[in-house]
Amino acid sequence: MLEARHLVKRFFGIMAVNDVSFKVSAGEVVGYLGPNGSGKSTTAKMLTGLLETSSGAVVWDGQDIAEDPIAFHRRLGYVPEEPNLYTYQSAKEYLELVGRLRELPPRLLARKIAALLNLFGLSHEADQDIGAFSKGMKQKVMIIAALLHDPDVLILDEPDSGLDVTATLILRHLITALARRGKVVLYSSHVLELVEKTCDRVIVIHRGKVVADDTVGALRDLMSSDSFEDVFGQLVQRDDPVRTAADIVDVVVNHA
Amino acid sequence: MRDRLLIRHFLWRFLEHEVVSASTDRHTILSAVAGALLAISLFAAVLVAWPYQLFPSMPPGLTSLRALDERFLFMSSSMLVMALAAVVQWDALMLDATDTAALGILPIPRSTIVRTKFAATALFAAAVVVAWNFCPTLLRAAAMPAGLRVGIVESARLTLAHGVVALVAGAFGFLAVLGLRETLFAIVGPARFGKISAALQAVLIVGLTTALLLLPGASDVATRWRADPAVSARAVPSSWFVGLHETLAGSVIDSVPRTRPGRLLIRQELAATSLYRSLWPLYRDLAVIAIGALSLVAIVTIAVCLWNSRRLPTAARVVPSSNRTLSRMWNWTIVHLVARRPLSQAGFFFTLQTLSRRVTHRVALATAWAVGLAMIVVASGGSYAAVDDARSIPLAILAAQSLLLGSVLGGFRRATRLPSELRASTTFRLASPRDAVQFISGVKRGGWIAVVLPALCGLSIWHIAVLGPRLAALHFVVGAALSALAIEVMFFRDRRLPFVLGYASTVDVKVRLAGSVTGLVAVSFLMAWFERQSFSSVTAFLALLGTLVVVGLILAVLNRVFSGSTVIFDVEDDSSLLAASLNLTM
Repeated sequence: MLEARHLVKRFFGIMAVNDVSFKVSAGEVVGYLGPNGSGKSTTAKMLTGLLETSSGAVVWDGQDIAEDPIAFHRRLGYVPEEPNLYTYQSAKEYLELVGRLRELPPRLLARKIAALLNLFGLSHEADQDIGAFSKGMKQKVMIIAALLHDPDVLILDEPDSGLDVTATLILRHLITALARRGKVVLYSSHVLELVEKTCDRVIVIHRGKVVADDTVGALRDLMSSDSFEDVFGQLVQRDDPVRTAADIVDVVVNHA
Repeated sequence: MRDRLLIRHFLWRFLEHEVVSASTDRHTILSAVAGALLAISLFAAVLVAWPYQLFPSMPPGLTSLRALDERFLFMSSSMLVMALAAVVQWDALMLDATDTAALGILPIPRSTIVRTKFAATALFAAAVVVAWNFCPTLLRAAAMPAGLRVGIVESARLTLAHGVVALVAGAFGFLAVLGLRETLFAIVGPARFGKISAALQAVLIVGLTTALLLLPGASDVATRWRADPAVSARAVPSSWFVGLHETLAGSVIDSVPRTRPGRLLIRQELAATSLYRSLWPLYRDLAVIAIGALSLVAIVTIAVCLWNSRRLPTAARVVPSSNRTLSRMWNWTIVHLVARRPLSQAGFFFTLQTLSRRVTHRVALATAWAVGLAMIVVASGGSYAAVDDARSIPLAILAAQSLLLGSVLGGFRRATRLPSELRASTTFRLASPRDAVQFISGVKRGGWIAVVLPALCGLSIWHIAVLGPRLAALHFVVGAALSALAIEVMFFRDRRLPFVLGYASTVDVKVRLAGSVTGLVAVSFLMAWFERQSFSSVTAFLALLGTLVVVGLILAVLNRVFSGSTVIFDVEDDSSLLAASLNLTM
């Protein structure tokens, strides 16, 4: 089980994440939602150990990950918000680097890379420089890199960003299938429909604080709404989106 | 207004080049580069001018000859610096796919984008050439004996001629590189150009930097010109511009009325005047060649640039290498023989990929090669004749190997401290390699194969010709053992991952560089002496080789025992750098 205990992160005195606590059990997919700048990615980076907490702890199987970050990283698969890859490497070379750093047996690594590149539709581009890849293709490489070593914990920070329709569908079923194999999955996304269909439970964060933590159904009941989009809107949006859109159009068409 | 904005945009892009600046503020970079160009050229100009102040009564003939050497130095440096500026900005000289992505969607005609890019490139070149030649031109009048009666108008003519010809020489150097790049691009197409571009850039950096480093040693231009005008004058581009300068303003000093010099100088002055005046026809020939060559290079470069700019560039699709068998054989050899453990393989392949594909790393290595080659030329001092007896081998020939190896290994060490892509460093933190020593061992092996082996093989061609196959082979083996030992020393007890994160230097680079060069020269000649002694008997040679191998092995074992396996991510103490590198925004 992965547990966030009273996580706090301040950047130069500004509170980015304020006392966030939750648990994700094995086999569970938890959606992590919030508007831009709400603290989702900061939480994700603290959970991976890439970013130190100002206070609080991340606990994996009863042990604070700060005590042995390397052991935790060996069980972690992380798809970050930005696909920062070595652009001068090919997809195959990058995945070989990751696999070798994780000390996967060479034959198993070669087999996995070939199979995963093929399944993600990248086999023809395997030898091309990543620098020439589209955002979606880079994202696929990041997803493969996160899965190569069969991790127990998956933290996916907007993994659907840039993916085409087919790849998004595959991702949705992939997340569910991985959870069925007992993986801990924390899934952050802006695609509410995808989260609604994929996640057992949803945590909504707004201005660094958790404002909701429940199943989609329970949240719908609580907010007396049929649509999860409405629920999300009620939780984090203060402005009427229809009114805001109309205001934007007014500014755009104004030539005076 | 739009044109000005676009030109400014393209000019700033020259400063965003990864060799010039990693992520530093553009104004800081601009002032640092301009300051360096002005300071170095001022230093050279003062160095040239001060002997005249010590010898104010130098007669015109001797002054003219001496000035010829100085013009050669300044014209060559202007040409080489400008050529280097073009090579460093290799990928930014013309429009690229990024420009197309950013500007292609805007309602701006292609012709405007192309025109403004040309203007920005021209302005960039103009700024560099002016910065480099400003101080030497300004101090031209000071580089004359105070006793020489040269009027203000004539001094102005000298200054103007120096400034104009230096600018023209610089323009020639810049246009030659740009023309070469664009002509190749037009001939082979974007995809093939993408494959050869990096290698060509590295070769040009090595060649140009070596020439620049050897420049201060060039002297006696007039004597060489008279002895062999076809090779030493007409075949050397800098000589063309010296000839142009002499045609424009050479008569200023030569026509100064002669006063009777001291008795000791009479013969020298007469010989110098005679030698200088005997070359007048050559000066005019060289001036014609200079103007012709500049015109030709300018016309070809502009034509080929216009041809390549018919449409805005898009990202070239890189076609994977078709020679799969060779690639598989190479991989098999490395995985089974050179780096057998996964972490070591990761270090090995990552090193080769980074060194060959990143501009910053290529520049670091190419510069080290240039320094090494220049040291060999200076140290050997022309002792290239074949030797029959091992005991009579000049030390410089044997020391050449250590000098080059030391220099390229220094460049390799420097390259390993440059992060390849900071933002992608999360790859290493997440994969958390559990043993830094294994990864670094792969890096060391990669460095040996990519950096040391080509140097050893390249030098062995020369050594076979000079020392014969047997001695050359023995020398090669010593070089191989010595370089392996040097790599062990350089990475001893280092647990920081090479190429991954930036290292903040705590040592004054100038002091370290001076110390390193002095130390390298001393060690190289000492090693050469030991080696020459060892060639006298098999036992002595085996003793030397055995010592090198045993010390290398001991170091490797000690490194394994005392380093520990923990990886150090050295930015742990610097949260701001870490935040910047990991893009830790909310």
